[in-house]
Amino acid sequence: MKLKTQSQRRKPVYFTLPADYEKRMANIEAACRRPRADLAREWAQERLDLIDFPCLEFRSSSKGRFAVVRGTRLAVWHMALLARTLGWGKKLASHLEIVPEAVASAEAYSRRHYAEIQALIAANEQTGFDELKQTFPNLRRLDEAAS
Amino acid sequence: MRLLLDHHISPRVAAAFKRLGGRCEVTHMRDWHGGIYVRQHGEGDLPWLRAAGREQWIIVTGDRNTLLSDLALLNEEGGELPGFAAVNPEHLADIGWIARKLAALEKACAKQRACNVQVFL
Repeated sequence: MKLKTQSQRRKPVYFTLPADYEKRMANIEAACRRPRADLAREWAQERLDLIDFPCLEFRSSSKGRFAVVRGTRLAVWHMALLARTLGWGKKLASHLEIVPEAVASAEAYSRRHYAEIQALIAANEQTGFDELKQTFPNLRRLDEAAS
Repeated sequence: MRLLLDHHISPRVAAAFKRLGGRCEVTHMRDWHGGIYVRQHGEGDLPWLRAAGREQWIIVTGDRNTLLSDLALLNEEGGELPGFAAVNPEHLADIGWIARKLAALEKACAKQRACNVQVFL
């Protein structure tokens, strides 16, 4: 049996909230239908990531939360998808007309959270015409719309 | 017809579309309402999708999973929907391809209400 080293050992975080925040926490817990430990873990992880990647922030969708370039809905996974063709760097920054620092931040986030980013790209690729047609019955291919 | 380019679509698509003879209004998300619907309306997409529906925009996006799922939620709300033109991920970096498809879309759907334009480019 391997012993965990100091850096591998995960220490629990205990805290209580002031009364007014406690009430808000209970409301959010009910609205999200998730335990507060899950929510607090997600918020702490996001806050720690934002310290390392100051060009980014997080947005919500019905499919969950994802990292985006601050002040936009340009997601890191969108950029990782484009980087397959354009690479990470000046070409991508020029294509999107954004600052190179935002691309560098997104690239670093993408490397640290590789599995998360690849899963978002895969989910997008798996959402094809037939899947969308179930949600949007009027969906057509462009050549059908033209005829 | 009014086309709203999502943030991951190159802003250069608008100029390429005009060079191909495109006549309709094309706006990039970063410029739409000065970007305020994304910057100042919290963390979700529903507020700006509602506004895009009221203003009859057609959203050009490669985000078929997260964005179109939220559009489905808006559909359940019963409000006015924006239209959408979904870009295949393999062409997402190809400015000329997207511009040509939008020019074809304009010819095919110019007289339709935006909410009725739901197209896979």
